[in-house]
Amino acid sequence: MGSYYKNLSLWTLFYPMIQQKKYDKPIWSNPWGYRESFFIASGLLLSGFALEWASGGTGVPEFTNLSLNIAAGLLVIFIFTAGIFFRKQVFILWLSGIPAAISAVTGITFMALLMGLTMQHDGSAPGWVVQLGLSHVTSSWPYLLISVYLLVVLGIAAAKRIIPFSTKNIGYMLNHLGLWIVIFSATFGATKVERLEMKVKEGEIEWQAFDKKNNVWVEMPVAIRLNDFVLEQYAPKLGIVDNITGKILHENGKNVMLVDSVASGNMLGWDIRLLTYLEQSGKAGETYYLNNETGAAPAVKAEAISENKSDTVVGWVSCGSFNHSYEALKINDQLSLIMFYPEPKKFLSKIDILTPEGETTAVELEVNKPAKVKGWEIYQVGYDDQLGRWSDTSVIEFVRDPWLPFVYTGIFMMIAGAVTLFWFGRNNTPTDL
Amino acid sequence: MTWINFPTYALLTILGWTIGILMNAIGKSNLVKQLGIALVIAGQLVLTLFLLKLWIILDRPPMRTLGETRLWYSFFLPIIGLITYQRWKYHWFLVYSLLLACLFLGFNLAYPENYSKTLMPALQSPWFVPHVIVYIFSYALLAASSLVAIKGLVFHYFKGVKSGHKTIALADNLVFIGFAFLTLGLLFGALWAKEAWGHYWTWDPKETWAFLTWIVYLVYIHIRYQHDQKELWALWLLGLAFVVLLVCWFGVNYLPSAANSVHVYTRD
Repeated sequence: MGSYYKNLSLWTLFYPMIQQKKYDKPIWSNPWGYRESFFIASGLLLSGFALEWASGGTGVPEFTNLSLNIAAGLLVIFIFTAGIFFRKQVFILWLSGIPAAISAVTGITFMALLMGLTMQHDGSAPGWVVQLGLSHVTSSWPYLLISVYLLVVLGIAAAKRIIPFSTKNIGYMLNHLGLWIVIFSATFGATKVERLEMKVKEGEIEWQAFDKKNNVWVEMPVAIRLNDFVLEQYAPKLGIVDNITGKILHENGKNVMLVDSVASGNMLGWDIRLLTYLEQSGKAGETYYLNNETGAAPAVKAEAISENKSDTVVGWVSCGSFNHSYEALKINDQLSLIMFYPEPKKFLSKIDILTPEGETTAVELEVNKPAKVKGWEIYQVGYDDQLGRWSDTSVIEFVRDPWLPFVYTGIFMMIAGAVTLFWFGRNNTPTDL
Repeated sequence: MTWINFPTYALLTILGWTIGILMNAIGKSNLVKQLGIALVIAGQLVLTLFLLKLWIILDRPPMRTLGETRLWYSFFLPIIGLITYQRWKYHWFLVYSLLLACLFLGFNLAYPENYSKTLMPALQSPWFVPHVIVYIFSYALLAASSLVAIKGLVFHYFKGVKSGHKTIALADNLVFIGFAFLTLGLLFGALWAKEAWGHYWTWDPKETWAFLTWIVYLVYIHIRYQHDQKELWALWLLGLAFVVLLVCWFGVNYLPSAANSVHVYTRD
């Protein structure tokens, strides 16, 4: 065994893999295999990067509706003609085969990896990063070229198996055609997605929304009246802060306690007992009292007892609000007890949707519960952060995505495909592979 | 504040698993072997009880923090190990999956997590539970497939033994089922994202890494179809795939590109 380890170099690790790669045909002679496929994929990426660099890193320009529709149409026609009528052609055989598929997927993986490692839409990115398109991968030239390559490869592979129809190919079709529909509609639909933000005040009616992408105000087909904005919060949390550095010593959340049913806890060796908890409070002199005016912040009277029970400190802690100052409890020279702002539990807008025809629909708009009207989806997105629970403004978003039904069709095909994969496993091989 | 009584439950679980698997391995009679498996299942039930209790006390699904996802991981691995053992009689595989589950429980014991009831509004959705359960179940299956790959590679390089079709066949079975669940988790996530944020895919760093993970296993499946014989390639690819999966699960939290991610698990 000993001599075996001695010979174990990097070469012997990979030798068996390299050994299997024997090429007995010159490159670019038919039929094409992995070498040609990877040459083409990297060629597309390199041209993409060159184009991006030449354009100064501005990314792919916005296509007009007409040119986009023509491009999508041509792509579909090419894929289906190639997959159905020219499937026996040696070029099409390569384009719909596994080597081309692996090269396209590797290319996409490379772009996704770049996206996963560099901060996207980062204003402070260095010039060369922007010029190579790395700060905006999804709208860059190399990403576009490799996506089109993937769409062609995947599309022809799927189109080939539509005719003649075979039940044995159902799993294959659901997975491949489903994925193709998702990528195709997501790519071409991306430019058609509209997202507009509307801010509406309690008691007021608003019908204009702001389009951030094009920097314009847009008149919506419906108006929104905000009757009430409601924000529910969790009880606040207490923590410990270093008096000198001002750092919160939470140690991955160990030294944080929720002011809830739990009446005591231990943080950094100090026993913390809650004596009084006021959900909303006002301050008079040195003490707090129950108060429900606007801006009334939560307050806690707490007792901190040191580990050896020699020191006991009692006092009030409050996180404050937009019009009340916060209060920390100094427990010794190094440490103070503080209160964090309460976290939102739920926020919702009670709105009326008004149409020009005079119809009124009452809706409660909540995170995860969008409303639908006239081809638009309406989302609850935010409120006035400064005012928190006293906010009288609700921020809502109007979203329209005309390609969504196609994307959903693809997604549901893929879900069905995943079930067949689970059910049949490896036996799910299509007829001609 | 840490999870209430977690050490007791975790130690009882680990004890049940360890004694059970030892009885199953060393036991001469069939009765002792069966009793061993029963003990493993008993350990599993203790963990199930803890998960239920945690769910009730927290008043929300315990799936928000990394520590909570590790609990589910420890929960699913032994189940996959037991099923694989019952169906294909891979004894070593049950041992490994229990070891891995113990490791994750041990990690949670060494770094006790905060007991936090808060759950941000975006996570309050009927999609939350299926999305996370399907994902963690798939991660557990894919981790299992990587164990198989590592075994195959070790045997190949250090013992000079060809891994044989049995090893790669087990890896294939695990990857196919794991990939099906990975796909479901990804798509459920997309459908949920549409409800919560208005778009099904925004290339959030976690999404990017989830996509990368999905793609690497996709390549594995295609390579297995086309190049049935190149088993060494497949084993290496499976090892690499698991590294990508781990970046997606934990690593993203530490990547600068993920500073603004909506998926970085809060650690408070």
